[in-house]
Amino acid sequence: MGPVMRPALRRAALSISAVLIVAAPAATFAAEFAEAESSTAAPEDAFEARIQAAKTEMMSDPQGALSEADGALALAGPGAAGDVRSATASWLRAEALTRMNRPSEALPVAEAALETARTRKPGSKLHGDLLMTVSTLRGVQGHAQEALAGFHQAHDIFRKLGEARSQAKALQSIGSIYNDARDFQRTLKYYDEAAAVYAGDPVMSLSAHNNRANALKEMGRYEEAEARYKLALADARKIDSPLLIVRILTNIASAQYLKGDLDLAERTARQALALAQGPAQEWRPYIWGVLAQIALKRGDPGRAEQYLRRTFQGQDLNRTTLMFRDFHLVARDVYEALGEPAMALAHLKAFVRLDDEARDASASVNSALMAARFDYNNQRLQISELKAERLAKDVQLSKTRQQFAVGAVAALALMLAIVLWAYFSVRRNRNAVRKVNAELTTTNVALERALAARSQLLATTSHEIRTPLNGILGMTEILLRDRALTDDVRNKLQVVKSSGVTLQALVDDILDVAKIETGEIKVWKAETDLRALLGEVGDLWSEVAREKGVAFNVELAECPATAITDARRLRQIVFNLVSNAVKFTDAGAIVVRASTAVAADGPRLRIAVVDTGPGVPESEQERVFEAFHQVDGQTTRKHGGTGLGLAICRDLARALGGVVTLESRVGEGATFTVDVPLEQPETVPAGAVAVGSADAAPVVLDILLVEPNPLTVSLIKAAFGDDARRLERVDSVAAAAETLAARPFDAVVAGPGAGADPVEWTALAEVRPETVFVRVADGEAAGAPFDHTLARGAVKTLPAMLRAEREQGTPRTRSTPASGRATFDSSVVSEAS
Amino acid sequence: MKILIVDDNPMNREIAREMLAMAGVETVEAEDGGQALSALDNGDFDCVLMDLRMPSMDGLEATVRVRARTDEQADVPIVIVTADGGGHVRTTCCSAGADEVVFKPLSMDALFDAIGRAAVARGRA
Repeated sequence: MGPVMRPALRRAALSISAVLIVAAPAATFAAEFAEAESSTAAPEDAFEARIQAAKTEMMSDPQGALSEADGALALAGPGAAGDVRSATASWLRAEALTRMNRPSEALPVAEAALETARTRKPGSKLHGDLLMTVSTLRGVQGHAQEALAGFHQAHDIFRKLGEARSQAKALQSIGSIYNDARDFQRTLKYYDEAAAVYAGDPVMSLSAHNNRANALKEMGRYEEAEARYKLALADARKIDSPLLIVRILTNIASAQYLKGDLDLAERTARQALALAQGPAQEWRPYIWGVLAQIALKRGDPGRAEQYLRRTFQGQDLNRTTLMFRDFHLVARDVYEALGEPAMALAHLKAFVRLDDEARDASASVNSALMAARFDYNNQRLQISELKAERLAKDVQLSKTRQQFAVGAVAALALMLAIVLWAYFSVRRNRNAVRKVNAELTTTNVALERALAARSQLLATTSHEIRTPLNGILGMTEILLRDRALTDDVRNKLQVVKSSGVTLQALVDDILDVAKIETGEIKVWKAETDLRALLGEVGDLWSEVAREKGVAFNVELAECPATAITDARRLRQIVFNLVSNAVKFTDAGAIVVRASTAVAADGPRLRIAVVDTGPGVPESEQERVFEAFHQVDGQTTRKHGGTGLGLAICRDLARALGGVVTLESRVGEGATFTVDVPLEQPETVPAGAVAVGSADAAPVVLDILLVEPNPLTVSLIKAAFGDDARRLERVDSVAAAAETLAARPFDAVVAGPGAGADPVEWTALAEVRPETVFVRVADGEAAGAPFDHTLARGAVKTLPAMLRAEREQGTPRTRSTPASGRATFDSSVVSEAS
Repeated sequence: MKILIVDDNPMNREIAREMLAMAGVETVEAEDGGQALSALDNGDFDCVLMDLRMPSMDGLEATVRVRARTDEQADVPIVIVTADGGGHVRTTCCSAGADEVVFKPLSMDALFDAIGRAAVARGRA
């Protein structure tokens, strides 16, 4: 009597992973038929018959369903009722076209029908269903904001109608948008909510398991993902759909491949291949893609190429969809290995195109979501109060609904009776619920509008703002390097630079909020010159502070010279803290103090920013770290800012393995401290290598570079690479004398621009005679007493040469200058080490 | 030293040109990948600064094509200069054959250090 229930599938072309599927049941039409509001009473009605047929065939034969829907459309009839019937038929036409992979045709059909439903039957199930269809298509097109808004609207309609299953579908669809934005916490949250609202049938269960597994896979939790996929597989077997089984097996194979178990992955993939017959054979290209990944990992690019040829058969590389993204990367590697650069390039370009699209989509979805949180904070309390009321009533409704739905599957007559009873039962609660829902709707609509407005602004931020910033900061830096500037002009330019850097930091912060929420922050540790870093941040702000009449000092006495950390992130944290301090302090002093400490889990680096501002009351001290929080609205208006700074600091510090803490009392200023683990590069103390010892540690050198040209400095610095433990640079021989007197160096290297006045160099050599003096010259350099003279290209040989000299204890002799000055002989100079 | 600056935005080219001028570097400018390749035909460069987003031929394709050349310039140090952020930029660029990546807004130190490292990596220091 009832039509056979078969699962339906929706392709998520917007998914990040190539083998990601969201098998959300877009419609289990049989069940919906039972719950749907009937537009006509008599089943013999020709129109209704066609509609039923279309629904029945939708899952297994969308082509057939399309012709049924077309037929129904012709029978719609005139008038308002006719319009509604047309809309129903059009909805089914759009669903069929979508399943036949013709989304561009489906969308206008669905949109027109939606308009009819919105005007003729607002708030009806048809309205909700059409919102779902249109939003899904918009999501496929990449319009995530509109899709999200549409799903929310559909969700509200279904909730008001008590259509729990459809409500759950809408929640799953929202979850998949967050999945596309890589916000996996929210993804799981929405899937959980969907499961809570309706846990009725294997299709929903399959979808829930599959989507959770996808999110887990994206988070790198491959074992858990594999386990979840297997639960989904069990559901797929219950439903007995070959295509679904094949798709989930492919997902499992992919998870196993990522886990590193190639044998298992290949077995699973072949299992899928064997089952991919008949309707399921459309999935074969993706299975071959996974087999190609496995083959390449095994070091067999030839075989991988054979698989990939099948994957990409008939595909225009410029028009592949997101499902192929990761396979393009495999193809690129394969063709590179096989020596076919043209093909490799074509696939690389396709990968970049799809990756860009996905990241743009992810970024724009992110900004949409972030924008929602902007306003959402203000309305959060209001909403949660309303929600509590509504939820209580909803649970009641939903429970009642669930019971009825289970009964409805059993028999048609019983279904009808139960549906009627449910309808009257709902009406009793409806009036109370209606009021609460109305208020929630208003809030949600306002949210959606804010979403749309703000998302546009944030989405264009990155590339567009950074380009003019390049102009501002670039030119300012160039101007500042002009030695002829007066101090007055220099100070003013410094203010311009500070403002530009602040703007850059703001842009970075705003985008980082999105990245942190989705776990995209990557920390890149390298050897960092801490003193230089803190000095730079200090330089940026000291002028601004001084203009306010606030003293500003950076205390580096206890600061280690180098540490292994992410310089960019650390700079961002300190920059934000100092920026806050300068913002809120109108008198007194600001101090940036770096120090080390030993804690239970190892050495720590602590950077404290101490100010004499108004301080933070104890009650607020936790909340200041919340995103968008400001201690009081007044301060924001006076000082500006988005309130993002401290939240970012804490998240970034966490990414570095540390924390940001606050000590403060009202009226006594505040101290913010960054506390991160201290990792130091392995150093060998100067001179520690014993001559001739067999297990000598590699010598690392301290170099003083005398060279005014910054690019030459960079080249020589790069040439030394890791061989230079400490490389300091001065502009002139005179400056070198001061530095050399203060600290010892293994070698003093004079660049081509350093000048070679023999008098100056002789004097310099006397400051610390045991130092090796090297000249890097483009041509002949006559005169000065250098131990070695090298051409620029030979600088790389210098470290080895110096090491060898030290090991052998070569006595220091300097070349005889052409002018006939006295030569130095180490036996004359006393070794003062 | 002679460096080729490739960027479709004249302001960005000017910034790079001025920064390099401070170090006494001679510069030649190109507006897109195609012009860059022609410039390499006619000159001997010590380094190429390559923007990513350009019309007609973008930075990534240009980089791949440079590396596919058969003359000495195939080996020229290439530094990608881009406003795009993110870790994936580095991987994509290096896999296409670039040596270093710097991000806009440019700082002179970052730019020079990148040029230095790229030059040393290609044995041109």
